[in-house]
Amino acid sequence: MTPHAMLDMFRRKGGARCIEIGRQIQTYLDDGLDPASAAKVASHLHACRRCGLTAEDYRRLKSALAETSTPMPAEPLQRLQALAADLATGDKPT
Amino acid sequence: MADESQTSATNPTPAPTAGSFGTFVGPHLPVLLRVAGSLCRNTHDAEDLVQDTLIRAFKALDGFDGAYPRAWLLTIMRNANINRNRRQRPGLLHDATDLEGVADRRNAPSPSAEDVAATRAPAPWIADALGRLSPRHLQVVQLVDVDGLTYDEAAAALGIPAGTVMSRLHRARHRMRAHLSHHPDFRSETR
Ligand SMILES: [Zn+2]
Repeated sequence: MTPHAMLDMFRRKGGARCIEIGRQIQTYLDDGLDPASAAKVASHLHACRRCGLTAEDYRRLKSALAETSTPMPAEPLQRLQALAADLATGDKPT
Repeated sequence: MADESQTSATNPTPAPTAGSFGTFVGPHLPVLLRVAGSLCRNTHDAEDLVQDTLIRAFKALDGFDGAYPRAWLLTIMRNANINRNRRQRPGLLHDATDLEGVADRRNAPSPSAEDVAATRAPAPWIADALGRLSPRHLQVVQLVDVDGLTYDEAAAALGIPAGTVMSRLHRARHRMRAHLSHHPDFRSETR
């Protein structure tokens, strides 16, 4: 590969900055970055369409996963709450 | 004085007493039952596991300082689950038994009509992407992205370092995204 072709590929891939940001996108979306790093990622996502779309994908994926959560049935929860109350009052031998 | 302020900094919640056990665990029961559902093959076993967990937690209350109650309860649940699996299937390795529940969740018995009515069916594309994950990857996605645990809480539930939870989770999401990139329903919303 010629140096020119390599440079071209690098540009199309978005460059070193995008690679660095790409490694942090998921942690950023999980609120796992320190404020300074989070601010850097946020401003890059705003300015770079490619990384911005990647972040959009992960946001959509996370919210779709959260929506698959099913509500907990009430009856088992009531039984468990009753058990906890019995333990607290000493009604349930352990 | 210094000791007191240190304690309050690391320990914002007072340690629960035996008498306050019910009010202490009450808010955590839905999460415990949810995570138990991720570790067990059916809802009956999940409820049993939470029962075991509550009894063990009550007995261990004296040694608990009140910090990170959810992670504390999840650690107890993990140990209770290992114990149950050992009892029911002697000879199996822990790591293998840890994975069983989630791996089998895909083949879990169908939910009742009431459960179905209460739940919106997930988009087929997300079910498809979940179905392609390895048991290890499915497990962390389930605990963090579906059940809503933090990395630390998922680490407590699984008995692995939080860094391992994070790397597995990120790889799992990366694979799901790669798979979904060809899926029209995933992409059509923005592109
Ligand atoms: Zn970029």
